[in-house]
Amino acid sequence: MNRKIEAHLLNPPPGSAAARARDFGIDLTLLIGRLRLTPEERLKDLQRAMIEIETMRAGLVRQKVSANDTSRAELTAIDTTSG
Amino acid sequence: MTRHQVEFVIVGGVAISAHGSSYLTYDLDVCHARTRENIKRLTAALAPFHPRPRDFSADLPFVWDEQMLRQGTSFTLSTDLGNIDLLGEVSGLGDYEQVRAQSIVMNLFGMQCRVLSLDALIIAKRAAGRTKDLLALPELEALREVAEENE
Repeated sequence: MNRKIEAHLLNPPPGSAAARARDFGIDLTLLIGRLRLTPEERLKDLQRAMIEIETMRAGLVRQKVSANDTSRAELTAIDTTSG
Repeated sequence: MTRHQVEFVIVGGVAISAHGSSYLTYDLDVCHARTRENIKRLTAALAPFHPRPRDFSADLPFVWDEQMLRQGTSFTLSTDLGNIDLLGEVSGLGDYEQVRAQSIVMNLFGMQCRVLSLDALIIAKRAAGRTKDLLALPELEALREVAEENE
């Protein structure tokens, strides 16, 4: 990526698509980082991000299951003692 | 698929990401040629990865073969490699030939792959018109702008 493009994204001219994207909420510094990569590197990054998200999601599900098991065990204990 | 000489174009989120967007996606969308020969190649290419429609429950029998692929045009599949959506056409663009005409070649993982161009991705997202498609437009338009400056 050349300096001109980097400057365009860092200081988008008013009325440009880059300015509209920035105003929409797109982090243009992230875009600069992505444009420095080759398409293949971008896809490897995407793959890494998706694996990380999936790992976090699996961790959350495990935590939830574990919390539910604990609650069930506590309810059973209360039920047994009150019965 | 490239090794099996399947005629396909990468469209959707992976194409968007390859162009530089930080868009995240869980599936690979490909538009494929609907010729008898290509369907045969596609069937052979994906068979080792146990493709199965994502909306089929695990206990339903399913056979992955050419006949099944010929019966429809679009399939949302889960495979050992992840989710793959096979499309016979793309909104706003048309069938494989029209999609191919608006694709560019990228070198990905040592192979020459056809990827939908930024202009065509913008047309397709506008035509699809769902909220998630429209949300991708500002970034795509900024990418197109810098790509034009780079030319």
